[in-house]
Amino acid sequence: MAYKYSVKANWGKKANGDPFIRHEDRKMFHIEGFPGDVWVTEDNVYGGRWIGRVAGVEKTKAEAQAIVDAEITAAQAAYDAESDEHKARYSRPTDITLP
Amino acid sequence: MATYKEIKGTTVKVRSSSMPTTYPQAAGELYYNSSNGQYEFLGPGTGAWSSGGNLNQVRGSNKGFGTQTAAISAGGAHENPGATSSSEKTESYNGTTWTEVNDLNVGRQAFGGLGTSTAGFCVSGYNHPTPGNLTNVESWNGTSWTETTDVNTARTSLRGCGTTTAALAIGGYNPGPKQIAITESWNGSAWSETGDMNTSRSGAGNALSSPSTDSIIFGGYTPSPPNTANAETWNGSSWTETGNLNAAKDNMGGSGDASTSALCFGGRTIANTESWDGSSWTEVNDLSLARGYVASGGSATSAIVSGGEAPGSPYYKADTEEWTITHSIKTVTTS
Repeated sequence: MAYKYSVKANWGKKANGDPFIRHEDRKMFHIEGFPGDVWVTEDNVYGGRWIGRVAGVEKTKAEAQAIVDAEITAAQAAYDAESDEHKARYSRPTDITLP
Repeated sequence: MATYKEIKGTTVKVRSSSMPTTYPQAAGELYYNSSNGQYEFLGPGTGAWSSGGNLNQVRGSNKGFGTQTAAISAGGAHENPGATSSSEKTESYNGTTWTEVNDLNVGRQAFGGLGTSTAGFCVSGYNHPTPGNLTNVESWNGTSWTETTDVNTARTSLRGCGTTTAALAIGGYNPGPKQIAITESWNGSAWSETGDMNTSRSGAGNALSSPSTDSIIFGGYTPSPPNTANAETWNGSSWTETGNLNAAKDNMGGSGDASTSALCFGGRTIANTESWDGSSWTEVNDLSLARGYVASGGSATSAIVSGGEAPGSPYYKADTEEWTITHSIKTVTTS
């Protein structure tokens, strides 16, 4: 499956009821969120329309991966600085490879 | 050739418009739509997550109860991981927007939530950094929280179900012996120990909206191996092992209104969703954002998830997603 990569902050659901990701979207194309407001969508007409509708900023896969990597690196550093009690309760963030 | 009436025992229904496509509808119904002169067929329902309104405050290990259009999300951690206090903030959802309402009396995270948006419980949980695990229980009346009778065993990452007059507090985590199997039953005035689960667990998922006499719990964190796929049903007096999840996981969300109808979603860094029909778990459409330590609500056919924790900035999330089942309508053509 081919993918498109974009960045956009999730606005949730607007006061008029318009959701960031609609139920219909989920039936028409694959979409998956990652750290850094990175969204991976199936590369089809519906996925492309969604990026346009939410005014997402398209990225190359390498650019999107770099954003995710930076987020994970920061999260790992924050985890490493935590107390032993925290580490006993939570696991260290693992690297993420975008599809 | 047999007629439709001979096969089905009734004639094709005439409807003045297309059938509604949202659950619950009788999938598989063939009918004549007099508004467009077409025979139409209501296909099987398909569930998917769509975005709900964002919480006002990012939070993780928050817990909740209620429905997709009338939910409560309370407590949790809201600062950086390892922050010095647990939140007492409470938010109410109307299907579109979260609104801040009256605070919990005791800040906490990973408590057991149960009930409705007008009559719910917040059971036990963890107050960071002291006094740690709580026995404290608070009752929500739609406006404010009031402290009520404590449970017998302090714990965190437990699960709850039932109502404010007949409830369960299930499992959880309590240092020494850590994961516990203890189930406590609330009769409207006191908590008492009842049948233990077969598998000790914390951070499980459960049919959050189920009654205290007919429920299911699934997955969670166990001492060894760390995660389990094991599921157990409750009949009002004892737990019985039933079909396992397809994948072991912990700290996921759960919804459902009976031991035969539940939804398991997310978990520590995963987005998977599984649906339980009383006999087996089926993988269905994923959350759009992988996360664990969420607040849940609703049923297996109309669920809500809010907040949670996943790597990235912010670590604690404001995202809400709503699970809805819709049917497709097919026009029947003949040649």
